[in-house]
Amino acid sequence: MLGAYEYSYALFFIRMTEIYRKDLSQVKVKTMYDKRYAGRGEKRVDEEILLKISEGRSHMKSCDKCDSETAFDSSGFAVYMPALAMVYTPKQSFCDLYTEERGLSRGTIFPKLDKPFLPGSQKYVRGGGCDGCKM
Amino acid sequence: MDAKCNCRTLMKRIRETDFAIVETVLFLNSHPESKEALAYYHELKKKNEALRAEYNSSCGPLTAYSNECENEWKWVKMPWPWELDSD
Repeated sequence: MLGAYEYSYALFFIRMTEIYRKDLSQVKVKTMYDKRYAGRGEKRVDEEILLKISEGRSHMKSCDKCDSETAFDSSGFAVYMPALAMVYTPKQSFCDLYTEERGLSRGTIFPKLDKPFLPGSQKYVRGGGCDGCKM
Repeated sequence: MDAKCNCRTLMKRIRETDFAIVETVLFLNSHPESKEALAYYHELKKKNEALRAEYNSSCGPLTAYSNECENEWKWVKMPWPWELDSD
């Protein structure tokens, strides 16, 4: 049974993640679960949240060059809820680079780090709950 | 005009490979075990050195330290920034 506090904090985190477009796509889901939550009561909380956001929308995807497997939802975000108040850096893979010419003009050789600023875009602003919770 | 275009193209390619090397180095600093990144780094280095050598031999010294001519100090005879044609 989720407490209202934990649930609303998790939703806040999800919204912030979506708004700032953190690319969590390289996080290894199973490994981090095993290390962090083995034997701790928090696991049940995270699993419930995970089920809510991933219901019917997640699929496994692997990078052909890097052999890593992560779960994605339909917006391309990793289906993973880390522990509250913990900071982590996702693992980055070295594949599908830009050509040298395109890299210099985009400011990075990694397509996943090519995030142009789009002022006034309403795409990631939502009023109310996110898609996963239907609140 | 051909020689100038060639020098400009070479300079552009040198800048591109320089930048790609910087990006790869940053990646390797946080992922030192990555074999693909290391291989790409060496490939870029070879390209970069070849381009720099070609620039030095056909367009003049790229930097003050790459002056290869033993008889004259070509570095000051290269066009100064305000003497370059605008693109």
